[in-house]
Amino acid sequence: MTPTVTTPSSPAAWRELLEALAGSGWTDGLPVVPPIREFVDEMVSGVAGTADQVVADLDPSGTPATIGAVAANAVMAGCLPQHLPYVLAAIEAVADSRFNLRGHMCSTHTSGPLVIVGGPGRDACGFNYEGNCFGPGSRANAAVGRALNLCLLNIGGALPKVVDRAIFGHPGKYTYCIAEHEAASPWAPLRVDMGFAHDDDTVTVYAAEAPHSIIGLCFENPHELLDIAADSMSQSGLTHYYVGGDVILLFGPAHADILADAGWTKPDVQAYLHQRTRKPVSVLKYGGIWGRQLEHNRWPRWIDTADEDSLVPLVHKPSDIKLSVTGGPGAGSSVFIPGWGTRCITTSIRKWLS
Amino acid sequence: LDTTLDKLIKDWDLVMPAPRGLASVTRPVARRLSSLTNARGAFLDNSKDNAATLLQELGKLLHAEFGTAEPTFFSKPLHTRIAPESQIGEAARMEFAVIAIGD
Repeated sequence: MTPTVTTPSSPAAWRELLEALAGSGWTDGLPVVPPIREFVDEMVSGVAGTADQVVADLDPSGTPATIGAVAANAVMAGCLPQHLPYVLAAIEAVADSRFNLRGHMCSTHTSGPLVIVGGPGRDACGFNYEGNCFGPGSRANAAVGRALNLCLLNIGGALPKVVDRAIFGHPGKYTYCIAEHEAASPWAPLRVDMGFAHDDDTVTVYAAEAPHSIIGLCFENPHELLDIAADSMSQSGLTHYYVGGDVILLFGPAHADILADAGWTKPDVQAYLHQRTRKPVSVLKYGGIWGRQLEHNRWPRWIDTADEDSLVPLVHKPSDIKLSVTGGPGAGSSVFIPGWGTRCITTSIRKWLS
Repeated sequence: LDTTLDKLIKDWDLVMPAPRGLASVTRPVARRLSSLTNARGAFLDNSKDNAATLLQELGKLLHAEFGTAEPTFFSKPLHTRIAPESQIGEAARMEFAVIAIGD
């Protein structure tokens, strides 16, 4: 039987609803759009699948995330119906065992789930890959990133200070979503590196720390740019020196132009950075989780731990340094995004398009 | 609050975005053992020292106080990755498993 729905319209009724939702434990601390059935149904009707269809089991609780529940969280986050396929794809991606969602959401580490959107459909949905792409101003970026985080809280059960044991937390646990600036890139986009077709629409998720700025307005060639980038990436407190995984380097358009003009390919850049971001055992022996118990570090076999001058790479392989281009015009900047020590996972949104 | 929220869910016809509390999660729970005597236990740590210390002490206590078999310890190769299938498979052959994390 269809319930009789009253639609209180007074400011007091709205306030009561918003405050009840705020106190329900279903929010990230900010007010949410009420998940009114009509809104949720509209969102579900725009994707392939039914409301009770399970997208993935979400750790740490292991609760099945249905399309309906994900859509309710997407409504609460402020998504439009056309954003839901991106949220569903992101849910699938974080549930991939290589992402290790349970570990990521329970860890003491300072990381949050970054979503990188790519593909021809991103313009129609309004994703920002130009100026201030990490900041406010784009509903798609803000709402899709927030929807993923609300799902991880509400469905996955990653309750702050209870299950999520992060020492500091991360602003990206509110929202953390950008898109690739494919027209400004001299290379194929990230999804092609990850095995997807150029004309596919994808999301890539990554357990990411904050973007670390790399500024340089006067570079005259790739070596100057990449030497400064490598130095900015070589922080001995990064977990990657001890456990590997992927890292992300996002070039701003001005820096990408320097590399494009010189004809450098992605493998060229990756190989150079892999060489130039190494740190000696004499420094790394104090850091990480195991300190002087060097045998516990996940280092390549060819590292001679008895030789303090041995150089340890930031990540194991050059291709573990994921490259892309994003951001607006202006003085030269890039950003380096290290993470928790796991992998970037890419999924297509196509299966969710109706 | 729950009463208010329940009324608002009905009045506004809201779709619940989550189960009400973790108790409603439907993940299957491991079968309870009728006895710990001679039960073989797998103790899996997340590769961090404090986890291993905790589990080693727990394994000793269970053996001494409850008569479990000698504990078998496993350590994940890396805390940021899930345990390898080989470890999970070996642990699954035991009667019970205990996992721990620790910094």
